[in-house]
Amino acid sequence: MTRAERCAAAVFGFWASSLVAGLLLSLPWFSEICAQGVGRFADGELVLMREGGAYLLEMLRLGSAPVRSLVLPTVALGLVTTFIGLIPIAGLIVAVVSETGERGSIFSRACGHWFEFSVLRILTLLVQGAVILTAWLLAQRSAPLGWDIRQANALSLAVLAVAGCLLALVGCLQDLVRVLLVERSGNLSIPRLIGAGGNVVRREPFKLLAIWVVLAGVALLLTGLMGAGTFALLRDHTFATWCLQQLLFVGLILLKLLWFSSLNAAVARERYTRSV
Amino acid sequence: MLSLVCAMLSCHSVRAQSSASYTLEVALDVQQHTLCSKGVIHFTNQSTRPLTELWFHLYLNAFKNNRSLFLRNPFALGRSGQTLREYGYIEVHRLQSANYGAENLWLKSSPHSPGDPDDATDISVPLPAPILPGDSVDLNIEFTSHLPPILERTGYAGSFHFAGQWFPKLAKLEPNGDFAHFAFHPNSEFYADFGNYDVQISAPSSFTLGASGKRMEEKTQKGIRTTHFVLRRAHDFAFTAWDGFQELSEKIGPVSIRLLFPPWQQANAVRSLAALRLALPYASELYGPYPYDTLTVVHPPEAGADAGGMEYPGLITTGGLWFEPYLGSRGIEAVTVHELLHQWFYGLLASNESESPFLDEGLTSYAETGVMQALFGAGSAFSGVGLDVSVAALHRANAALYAGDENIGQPARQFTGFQALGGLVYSRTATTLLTLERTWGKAKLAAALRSYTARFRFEHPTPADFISSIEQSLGVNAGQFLRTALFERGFIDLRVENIASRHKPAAQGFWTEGTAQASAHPPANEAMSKLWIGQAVVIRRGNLKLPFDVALHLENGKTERRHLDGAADSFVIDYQGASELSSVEIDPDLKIPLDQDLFNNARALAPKSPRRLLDLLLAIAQLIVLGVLP
Repeated sequence: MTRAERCAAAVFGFWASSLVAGLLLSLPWFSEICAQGVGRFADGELVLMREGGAYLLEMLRLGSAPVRSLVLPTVALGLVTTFIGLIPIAGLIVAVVSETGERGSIFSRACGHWFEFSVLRILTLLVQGAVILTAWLLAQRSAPLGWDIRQANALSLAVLAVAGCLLALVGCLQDLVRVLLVERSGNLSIPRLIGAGGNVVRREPFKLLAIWVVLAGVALLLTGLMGAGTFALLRDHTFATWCLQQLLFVGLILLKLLWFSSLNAAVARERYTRSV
Repeated sequence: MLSLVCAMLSCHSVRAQSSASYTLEVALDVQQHTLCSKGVIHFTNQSTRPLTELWFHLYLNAFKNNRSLFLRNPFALGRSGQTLREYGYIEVHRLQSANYGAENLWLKSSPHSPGDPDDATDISVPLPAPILPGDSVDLNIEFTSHLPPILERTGYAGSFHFAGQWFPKLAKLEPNGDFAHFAFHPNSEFYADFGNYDVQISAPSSFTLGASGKRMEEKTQKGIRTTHFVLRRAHDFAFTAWDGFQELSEKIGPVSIRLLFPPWQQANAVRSLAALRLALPYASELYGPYPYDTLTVVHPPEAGADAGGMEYPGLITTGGLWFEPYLGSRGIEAVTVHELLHQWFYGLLASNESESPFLDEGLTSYAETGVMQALFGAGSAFSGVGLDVSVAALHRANAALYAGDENIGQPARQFTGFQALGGLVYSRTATTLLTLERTWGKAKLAAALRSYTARFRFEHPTPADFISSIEQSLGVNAGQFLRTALFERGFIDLRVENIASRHKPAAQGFWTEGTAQASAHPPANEAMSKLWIGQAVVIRRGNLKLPFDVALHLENGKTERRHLDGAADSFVIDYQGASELSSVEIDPDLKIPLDQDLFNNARALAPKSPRRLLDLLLAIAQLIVLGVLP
C-alpha cells in the first residue's frame, strides 16, 4: 500500500467519521426543529428565509426552551465524538508518518494511540480553557477611570491577540506531540518527548509559523465559505450543492493532512540533524 | 382672511414655543466633572389660572443617592443595567426674580419629591406672589451640576463628557394651570414646554464641543474656549465635550450635519452619515420638514457607551462597536435612523413620555422599520452568510415575548421593568402599526401619520389625539383596533385547526325533489367523481379582529386564495376543485405580524421533510467535529 493510498484511506476515514458524528450531533436538533412545524408550510424550510427572517426568529423564540434542553446532551455527545474522533486524526498522522505499511495497518495503529491522544487532548483542553478564562476575566475588568480610552481599547485588543496566539500555540504543540508520539521508534519518555518537541520548535520556528499561518488562513477561508455557502444554498438546495459542501469539507481535511506533513517533515529534519 | 388666520396661527405657535426659555452660561471643569452655570429662565404663564408655585425637574438628582426613585431598585432594572460608581447631582445656589425683590426663592423649595424623602428629582418652589395668566417672569438662576460617571445617558468617562438633563428644567405647564411634574423613574423619559435656548459653554480649548442648536460664535481666552449655541422652539438642550473627537461635516438639504466620533470609529461615522443622507429627506417627506438648521450626531467612545442611543432636540447620540459593520449588522444605521426619527415624534410632537411613552418610542420604532426597509430592504437589521433579518422581524419577535402581559399604553412607571417596556412600547407598538399598515394599506397609514404630525407639530398630542387622527383617516374599525391593541392588552392568534381532502363522492342516498321523494342506489362504478373536495378549519383566539387571507395549496402546485373578514372566532373554509388540497396557510403575506404563533398558521395533509435543514445542521456539526486548524 503506497503512502498516497494510505493518505486517501485516511482522508476518507476522517470524512466518513465526521459524517457519522455530524449526523449524530445534528439529528436531535433536526427533530426538534421539525416538531415546530416547518414541514407544514408549502415551501418547507424555505419559510425560514421569508419576511426578513420573521419565521426564523419565530422558530428561535418558540423553540428556545426545547433547544436549551438539547444543549447539555449535545455537549456530552460532542465530547464523546471528539474522543472517538481522535482515531481518524491519528490515522491521518499514521498515513503521513509511515514509510511502509500493510493493508489495514493505518487504523489499527491509530487505535493504539487513542489513549495517549485522549490524555493529550484533555491536557490541551485544560490549558486552552485556562487561557480563555483568563482572557475573559481580564476583558471583564473595566479600564481605570484615569485611563485614556485608546489605552483601554489597546489593552482589550492586546488581551485578545495574546489569548488567540496562545490558543493557536497550544494547538500547534498538541499536534507536534501527536506527530512525535506516532513517529517515535523505541522508548520515548516524557522528558525526551518534551526535549524533542522543543528541539523541533527551536530549530524551525519561523518555518512552522509561516506554514501554520498559511494553512490556518486557507482553513478559515474554507470554513467561512462552508458556513456562508450552506446558508445561502438553503435557498436552492440540491444533491449537487450537498456534494459541493462535502467537497469543501474534504478540502479542509486535506489541509489538515498538509499540516501534519509539514510537522512530520520538521521532526524528520530534526532527527536527521541530530543523527549527523 | 387667509393671511389673518395664518397670522393668528403663527402668533399661537410663537406663544406656544416660548413658555420656558433658557439663557445660560456654563463652565465645564473637566477635572472635577462639574458644570458651573448661571443665567435666566424666562417663563410665561400660558395657562388659564394664576400660579402660586413653580415645579422643577432636577433629573440629575436621580444619581444623588442610592435610594432615589431611579436607583433604589437593587436589581438594576433600568435601561443600561449598570450600577453607579460615584454620585451626581445638581446644587441650586440661587433662584431670584426682580418681580420678588432680592429673595432667594430656592431657599423655600421643597427638600424632596412629593411623598418621597429619598428622591429630589421633582421639586416645587412656592412663589411670594402669583403669576397671573399671560404674565411673564425672569428667573435668575445659579447652579452647579456634578456629573456622575456615565450610567444612564449623562455623565463622564475619562475626559469624555456628556451633559444631558444637566440643568433645573421647569415642568410642563398644562393649559389648566397644573404642572405635569413627576419624579424621575428609571423607565421614564421626559416632558417639557417648548422654548428658546441660548447657551454659552466654556471648556478647555483642546476639547471639541458639540451641542443642540446652531454654533454662533467662539472666542478663546487663556486656554478656555467659549462657544455660543442657539436653539429655537425646542424643549431640551444637551451637549458633549471631549478632547478625543474627530469630526465630519456635511450639508444634507438645508440641514448642516456635524458628526463627532472617536478616531477608531471612522467606518461607523461614515455609515451613520450615509444613512442620514437617505433618511433625513425621506423622513422630512413623510413627517414634515426637519425644524432646525443643524443636527449634531455624537458617537460616544466605548467607555461612554451608555450615553449612546439617545435623542435631544437637534442632537442625537448613536453607538456600536467598531467591528459591527464587518459582521453584517446594520446596528449603526438602525440606531442612527431611530434617533433621527425621534426628532419628529419626541422633538416636534413632544408628547408626555412619562405618561404615554408609546407615542414617542413606539411611533419612532415603527417609523424606523419603514425607513430601514426602504433603505436596506429585507436585510435591514442584518445581512450576511445568506441570511437577511429585518428590523420589523426583530420587533415582531420581541413583541411576541410580552404579548398580553401589560397594556402598551400605560405610563412608563407602571411597566414591570425596562425589558417589558422595551418589548411592548418599542416593539409591540411598532408591530401593531405594521399590522395596521399591511391590513389597511401603507399609503393610507402614511397619510394618516403625515396628517397627525402636521396637525400636532409643537402641540404635545395625547393618545386620544393620535387615535382620533388614525380614525379620521382610516375609519372607525382602525381606531377600535388601536384602542384594543394599545389599551386592552390586544392579542390575536390565528391557527389552522384541521384540514381534510378527498374525492367528491357521487350523489347517493335519499332526498326530496319537488313533492316526490326520490331515491338512488350508489352506482357501482361511479361512487367517486374526478372532483376533489376539501375543508380547513381556522380558529381565531384573542380580542383583536382583523381580516385575513388563507392560501389553499393544491397538489398540482396551484394556490387558491380566500379572504375572510376575521370577525368570527372560527371559520370553515370549503374547497372544491380538480386537484387534491395539500396544505393550508393563514396569512401567507404576513399582513398580521401581531399573530402570536406563526408556526400554527399552516397545516399539511402530508408534512414535508425539510432535508436541506438537515444538511445545514450536518455541515455545522462537521465543522465542529473537525475543529479549527491546526
